[in-house]
Amino acid sequence: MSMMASDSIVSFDNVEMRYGDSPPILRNVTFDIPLGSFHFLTGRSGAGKSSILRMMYLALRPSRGQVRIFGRDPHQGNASNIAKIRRRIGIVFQDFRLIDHLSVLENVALPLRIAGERESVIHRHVSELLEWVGLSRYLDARPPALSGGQQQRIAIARAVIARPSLLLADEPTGNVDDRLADRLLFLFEELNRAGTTVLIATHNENMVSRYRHPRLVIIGEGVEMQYSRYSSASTVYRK
Amino acid sequence: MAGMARRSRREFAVSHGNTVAFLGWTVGVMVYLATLAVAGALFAQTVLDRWSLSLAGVVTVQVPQASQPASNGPLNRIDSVTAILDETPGVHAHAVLENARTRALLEPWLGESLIAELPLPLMIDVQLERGAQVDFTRLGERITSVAPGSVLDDHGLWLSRVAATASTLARGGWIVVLLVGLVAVISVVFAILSGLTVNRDIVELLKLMGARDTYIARRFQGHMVGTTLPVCGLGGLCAIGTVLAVTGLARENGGRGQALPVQLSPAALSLLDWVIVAAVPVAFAILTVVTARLAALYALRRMS
Ligand SMILES: Nc1ncnc2c1ncn2[C@@H]1O[C@H](COP(=O)(O)OP(=O)(O)O)[C@@H](O)[C@H]1O
Ligand SMILES: [Mg+2]
Repeated sequence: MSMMASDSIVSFDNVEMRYGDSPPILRNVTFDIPLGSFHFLTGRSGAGKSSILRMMYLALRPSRGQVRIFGRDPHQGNASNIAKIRRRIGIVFQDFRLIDHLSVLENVALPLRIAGERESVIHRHVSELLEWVGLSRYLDARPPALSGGQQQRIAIARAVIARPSLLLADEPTGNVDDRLADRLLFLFEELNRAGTTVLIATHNENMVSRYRHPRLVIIGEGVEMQYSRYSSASTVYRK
Repeated sequence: MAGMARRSRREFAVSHGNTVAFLGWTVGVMVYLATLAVAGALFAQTVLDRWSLSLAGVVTVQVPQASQPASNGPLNRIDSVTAILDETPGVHAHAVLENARTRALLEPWLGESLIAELPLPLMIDVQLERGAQVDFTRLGERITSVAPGSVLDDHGLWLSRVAATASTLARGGWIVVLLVGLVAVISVVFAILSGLTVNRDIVELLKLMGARDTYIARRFQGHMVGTTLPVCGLGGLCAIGTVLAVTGLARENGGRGQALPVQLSPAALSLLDWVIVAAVPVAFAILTVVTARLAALYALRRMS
């Protein structure tokens, strides 16, 4: 086990997390996510998957221990440093967080706009991607007019459009059938092949078991990292 | 291609809903008031300048009609007074106002019948030389010695009263502008803060996506500025229209009632004054934009 290896994109070192004054929901969490890897983050509902992702996209700070992203402590720099790190992270929120008054196209275009991309490039890339996820007929629709599954695909498209270095997806296949889930997983794998490190939080054992990707499992107070039944290796990071 | 251009111009702005519509009305009315106040202040100043200019160097002598016809009749008294004026250094010219003219001047105010019965004093308009230092007390004494009951009026007292009133008006106008500007700033700050609060989810989302505060602030300004800029223009135009209408009315009245002395004829704003008046809505537009931006940036820094 190599702590803080230079090729790890995310590393948690003895992290403790608590909301406000309530007792910690995570304790002694230690793991590394190597650059270019593809992991599932699993655990029962309420185990703390979303909380771990929140610490990764810097919406939460650990109450103890250290989180490093891209090899650095993200909270050490100023606000613009945090913004810079976040622009390299794509997030699929569990509740999608689409902007209701913007069209599908504009929602997906947001990360490119934030990155200052040219308008012609934005339009081309967004239409291509929306076609790939089967939403090309809905470019000008507003999210509230679409189904949960369609909204989920918009959220995924928005997370991957800017080709992030790290993709964090929170239950990204919760609202779609298996066939579409496989299609979306394929999209994530494509992205991963192109160099993006992928971490997918899910409680869907059925889906995880169909893939060969290693998984981080939250059990008790901490995270166990193990490889799926297709793999022999199993590493546990616990106190 | 056209669609793309449309989209780029439509870069998303965060909607503030009714807050901005309300702000639009508020700012519009405030710009209207401020522009009017500035025009009023400049107008008061112009009137004041004009009066002091036309009244400076003018003295009026009133010679009352003698109560009993004496050997020393009014005409002789007038002659004596004008003789004194002739030999007074600093007097440029003087003219006895015809009684008929005095009556005509007073008629609109007092009515024909009253005028006919009134023992009107004779009036002498005295023009002083430019910059002349005349001892009015001494001159007054000499005049009353030959024509008792005469009054020498150098307009100084009432001119100073008018001046005080006019400059109070002018100062009041500027104070109104300052207050209205302050209220505008406060309204914009509150609109921005409430907009950020209402759209807290979007702000948080944009931050999580790595948007800089300046980017988010621009989105919030976008909608607001799009509303307040046209409204500033509209308020300014309405105010200028009002000023034109009022001064036009005054000029019309001045033209008809010939009784108005020069000093009271309508003053007009100079070109420079108009430029200043037109600058008020522009200044308000800049003020709202800058305030919106600073308020948004300040609030965003505190939200993270
Ligand atoms: N914003 C919050 N405030 C307080 N407690 C929270 C908050 N979010 C999550 N929790 C609690 O933290 C624990 C972990 O939640 P979460 O990270 O959402 O788990 P998971 O995503 O695995 O279902 C749960 O017990 C949940 O009730
Ligand atoms: Mg969750």
